[in-house]
Amino acid sequence: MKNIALVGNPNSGKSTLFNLLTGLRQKVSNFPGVTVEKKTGTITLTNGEKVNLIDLPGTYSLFPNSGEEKIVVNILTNPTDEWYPDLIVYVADVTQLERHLLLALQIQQLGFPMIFVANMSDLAGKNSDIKPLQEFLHVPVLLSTATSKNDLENIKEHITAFFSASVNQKEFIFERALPFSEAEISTFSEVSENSSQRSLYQNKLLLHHYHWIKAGETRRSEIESLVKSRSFRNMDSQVKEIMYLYDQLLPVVKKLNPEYQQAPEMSGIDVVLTHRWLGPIIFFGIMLFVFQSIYTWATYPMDWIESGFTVLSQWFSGWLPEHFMSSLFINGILAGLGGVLVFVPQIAILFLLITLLEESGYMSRAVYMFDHIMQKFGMNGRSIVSLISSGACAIPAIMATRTIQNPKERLITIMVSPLISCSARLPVYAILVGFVVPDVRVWGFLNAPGLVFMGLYLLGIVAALGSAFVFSKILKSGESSFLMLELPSYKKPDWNNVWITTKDKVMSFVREAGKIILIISVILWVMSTYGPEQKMIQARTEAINLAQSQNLNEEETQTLISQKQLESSWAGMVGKFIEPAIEPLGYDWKIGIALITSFAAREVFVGTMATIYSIAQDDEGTTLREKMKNEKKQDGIKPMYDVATALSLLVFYVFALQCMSTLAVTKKETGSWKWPVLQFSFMGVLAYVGAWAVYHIFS
Amino acid sequence: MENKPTALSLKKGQSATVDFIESNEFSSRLLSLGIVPGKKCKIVGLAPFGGAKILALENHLIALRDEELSSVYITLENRSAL
Repeated sequence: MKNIALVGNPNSGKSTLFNLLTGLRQKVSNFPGVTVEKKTGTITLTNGEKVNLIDLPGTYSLFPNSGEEKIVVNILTNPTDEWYPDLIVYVADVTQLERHLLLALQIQQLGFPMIFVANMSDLAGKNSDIKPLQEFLHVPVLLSTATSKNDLENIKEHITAFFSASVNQKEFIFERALPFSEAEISTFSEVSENSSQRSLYQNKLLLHHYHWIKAGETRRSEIESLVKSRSFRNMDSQVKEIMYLYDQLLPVVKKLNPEYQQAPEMSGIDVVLTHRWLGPIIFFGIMLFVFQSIYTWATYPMDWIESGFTVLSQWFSGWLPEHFMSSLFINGILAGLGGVLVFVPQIAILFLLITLLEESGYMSRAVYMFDHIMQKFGMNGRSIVSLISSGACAIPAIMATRTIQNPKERLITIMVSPLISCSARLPVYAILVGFVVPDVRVWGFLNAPGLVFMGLYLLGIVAALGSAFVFSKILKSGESSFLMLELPSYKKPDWNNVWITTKDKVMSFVREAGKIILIISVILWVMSTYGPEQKMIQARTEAINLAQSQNLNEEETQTLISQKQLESSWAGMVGKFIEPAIEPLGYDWKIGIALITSFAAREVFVGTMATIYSIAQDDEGTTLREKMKNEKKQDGIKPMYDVATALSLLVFYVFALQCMSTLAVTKKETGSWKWPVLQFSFMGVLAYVGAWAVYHIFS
Repeated sequence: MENKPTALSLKKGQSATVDFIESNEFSSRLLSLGIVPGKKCKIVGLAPFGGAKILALENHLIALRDEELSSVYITLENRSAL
């Protein structure tokens, strides 16, 4: 199949056009080796033929600063690339032609056939006379508004015409040439054997980018020595080319719009939104809303999903025969599936809101405002959105780092986000805080448990920023860090784009992270349900005998059986096995079991403790606390859950990465197991050392 | 060249004309963002926590870090024009 590439600057309306052309028949994947989104799809031409369409990352020129932009250069200079285009549909914003024409002229030097789409936002283009543009570019120039069906059909018809050769394909090609000097021509020709005008410019790009460009991979050392022997001045040559192209295009831009030049000013709305102290206040107001949405509102659909799965599993257990496979299906797979889908509301809501902020143009203002302060911790202005979202859940927060272009800044944000206390830690904090301080008031108005809660949240924030700082010193940086950010004019978000982005995020989570979560949850289920057969049977008999001697009713008996079986299960054995390791933190093997099972999700801690202390599910909360209060240390005198142990457990849960879903998402977003493993380890070390220190200070 | 003012020396609200862009790793990006010799420019905003400013050009805004601003050499607007 033939390939068409959509090319253009960021904020040119390229993605909107892509969404309109492909509709829902699009695929989001990653470019090989990097986690840059690759959006592809097929379009059906007016004659029924199908062609591939790729939305290349937005780029300002063929002299890239970021990995995303390098991808564009790599594809456009490498005819053997799977996505090397047969036709380029170039998208430019009519109001920003001066900058948006620059890349188009560079593309023409590469000799690609091109359809130039002049995109009109709502404001512009009332009296657009595109004739001068057509005469300048010598290729079809089409006007387009995102809302017009006719414009879209017109674009499709031109694409069809090109591929069906019903018109002369030459009409789509204009080989623009830079005025190279004799010396330049001789240098550029030496890069490859053949030296048409088209390949001369290609060779120039090879000289500029020889240290990373794919097309020059096999001849890297030759090109390098050529650069040295001819003393090719990379930056000077880039500047010279851009200046030449601006000289060419500026008269045309002025002809198109004589009132183009304005006094350099900022709109009133931006004066407020980027104000030195109003700006951050408004930002935190917006973030409060975002936080509230994922923290509180998402709980309703999450509850529906959870109770839906409970009903489903009850229905299945009534219907399926009692068998290992049924149990695996209901308690392993179905429960795991519920564990995956329960994140969907938070992901959907966060991306809905973030996409709105990105689309409207506000996000780049936030990036600018927080650039400096986040830079001190090796992160990006965008990281602050992830860090705040982590207060609800690290899963969508880590997924939201996609828009951070610098790989190092993005990686640091991913690594430290789970240190911010999320909503799943709350039930754990709630059950333990009572053992640390009594429910009294401090200085008459402050609630003591509330203060401890605040301390735990602060501890998470400090740990996140501190680790970020350490990572920024250790991790190597592949790309230079820069801001140089366009603040686009505000516009109404395109709902089609918002909907498609949100849907893509949810689907990619379910597809990629879902698998891992499902597998781990099945493993955890097997571990806590099964054990050495002999021991499990023995545990059951013991429990039944004990229940009979104590005259327990049916439900109490079942609870006692669960307790004894959990103790004898693989998870129980591991819990006992690690006891010597966790003893210095003030824990016994019972807590050890809870640490293992709550790797599924932190809130499982409460459920496991209830099972261990043989509490029927209905009265988990208060009864569990009573039982824990009466639990004694090995000496049988001192309470098990004294201030030191409770604080130590709290600190452990602040730091430890007790969440398989976070690991799955980190794997998905970094594309390697190295980072989730490192994340789990460093947070584990923090947890262990922190808990140990606290235990020893307070005991 | 040390005496030549850069956009970093501009105070908020002060206008200037872009003179040239220093040749370094940022230059292509700065140029392709429309910070081109001959353009009028003005600092219109200071970042809340410092380190960056908003440079307004003839019909768009670019946020730049201080070190990026110092690659943009300028000619200050004539005093009499103020």
